Amino acid sequence: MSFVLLAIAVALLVYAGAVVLGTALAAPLFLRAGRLSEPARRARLLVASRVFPSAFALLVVGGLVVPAFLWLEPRDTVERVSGAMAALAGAGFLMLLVGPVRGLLSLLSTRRLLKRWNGAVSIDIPGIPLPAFVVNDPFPIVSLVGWFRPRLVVARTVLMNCDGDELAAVLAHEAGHNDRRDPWVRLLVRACPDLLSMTPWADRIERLWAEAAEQDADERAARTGPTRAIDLASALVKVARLAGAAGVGSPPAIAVSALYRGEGVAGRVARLLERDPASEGRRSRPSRLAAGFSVLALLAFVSATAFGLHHQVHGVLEALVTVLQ
Amino acid sequence: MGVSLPSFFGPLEIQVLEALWGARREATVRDLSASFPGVAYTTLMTTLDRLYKKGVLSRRKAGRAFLYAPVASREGLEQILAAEALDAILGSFESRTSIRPILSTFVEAVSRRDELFLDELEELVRARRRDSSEPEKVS
Repeated sequence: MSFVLLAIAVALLVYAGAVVLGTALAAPLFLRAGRLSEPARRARLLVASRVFPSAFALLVVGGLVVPAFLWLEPRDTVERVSGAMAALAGAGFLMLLVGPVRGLLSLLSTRRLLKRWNGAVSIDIPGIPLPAFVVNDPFPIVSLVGWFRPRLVVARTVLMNCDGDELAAVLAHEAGHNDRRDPWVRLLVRACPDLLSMTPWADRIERLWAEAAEQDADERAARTGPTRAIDLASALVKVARLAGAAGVGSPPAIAVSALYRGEGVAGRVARLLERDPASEGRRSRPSRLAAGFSVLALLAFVSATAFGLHHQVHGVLEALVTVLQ
Repeated sequence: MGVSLPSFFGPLEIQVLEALWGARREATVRDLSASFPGVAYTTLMTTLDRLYKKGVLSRRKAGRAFLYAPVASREGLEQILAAEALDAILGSFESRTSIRPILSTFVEAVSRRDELFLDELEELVRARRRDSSEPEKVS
C-alpha cells in the first residue's frame, strides 16, 4: 500500500514541478506570438504556449517518472509519504483537476445552449459539410456550436438581411473555423491541466487565441473568391447593425463581462478591406501539434529506455524523496 | 440530489410546509392555525403569503379566504432547490470565458465604438466595391 501511495505522490509532485518548469519554458512562445502579424501562426503559437506545460509534464511523468519508479523501486519500500510530499502532490492533483473541470463545465454550458435552440429548423447549405440550423434568436447569431459534431447556427434575421454573396462569405468564414478544428482546439485550450488554469492568464490566452482564430477564419473566407473579402466586410457591417437594432450587445449565454475585447467589428472590416491580395498564395501549414507531441513522447520513452535514463531518473527521485522526508 | 430546507427557509416556514405536506390537502390560514397555537394568526398569514411568493405554495380563492397547497412534495422541492442552487453556481461561473459554451461567433459583440463607425464602414465597403471591377451591388 505504501508503495502505491508513494508512487502516486511522486508522480503528482513531479507533475506539479514539471508544469511550473513547462510554464517557464513556454513563456517565450507566448511573447513571440504577440509579435506575429499572421493570424494562423499567432493562433498556433498561442495554442502551443498554452498546451506545452501540461504536455511537457505528462511526458515527463508518463515517459520517465512512472516507468522508472515502477521498474526500479522495491515493492517493500520503507519510504513513506511525508507532509511536504503530500502538500506538493496535492498541488499536482489540483492542477490535474481544475482544467478538466473547466472543460466539463464548458461542455455542460454548450449543452444548455443547444437545448435552448431545440426548436431550430434544420437546413441544407450546399458546400457546407455541417449540420445547419435556423433559429429565431434576438441576437443575429452566426455560430459554430459544439465540439464533437459542431453545428452551424444562423439567426433568421441574418438570412433575411444578407444577400447571396454576403451569406456565402459568412458561411465560408464558419467553414474556416471548422477546417481549423477550432471547437476542438478551444476545448483543448480550456481543459489544459496546468497551473495557468487556476489564474486569469488562461482566459486571457484563450481570448488572444480566439481573436487570432477569428482573423484567420476571415482570411480563409477571403481566399475563396475574388470579392469575398468585400462581401465578408459588408456582412460584418450588416450583422453588427442587426445586433445594434436588436438592442443586444452580445450573443446568447455570454455574459456582458465576458465581452470580446479584440479588435472589434471596425478592426475586422478595416483589415478585410485593406487586405493585400498577394496574401492569396500564402497558406499556413495545418497544425501538427498533436503529431509532434506523439513523436516526442515516443522518442522520450525509447531514448530513456535505450540509454538507461530510467536508472538516473530513479536516482533523482530517490534523492527527492529523501529530501522531502 | 437533495439539499437541506433550512438553507432556504426559516423555521416557521418549514413548520408550515411540514403541516401542509402532512395534511395532504389544501388548507386555509384558519385550518392551520389550530396546529400553531403559539403563533399569531397574522404571522401565519404572512408566512403563507411569503411561501406563495417564493413559488413554493400555490393558492386559490375560496370565498373570502385563500386555500394553500404545496407545489411539490418534500423530496420534489429539495430536488428543485438543488437544481436552482447548481444553476446559480454555474450562472456565476458563466461570466468567465472558461465556462462559456464551446462556440465561435461570427460577430461576438458589438461595442459602442463599433456602432459609431457603422455608417463610415458601410461607406468604405461601398467605395471598395466601386474600386473593384465588380458591378455595384444594391443591398
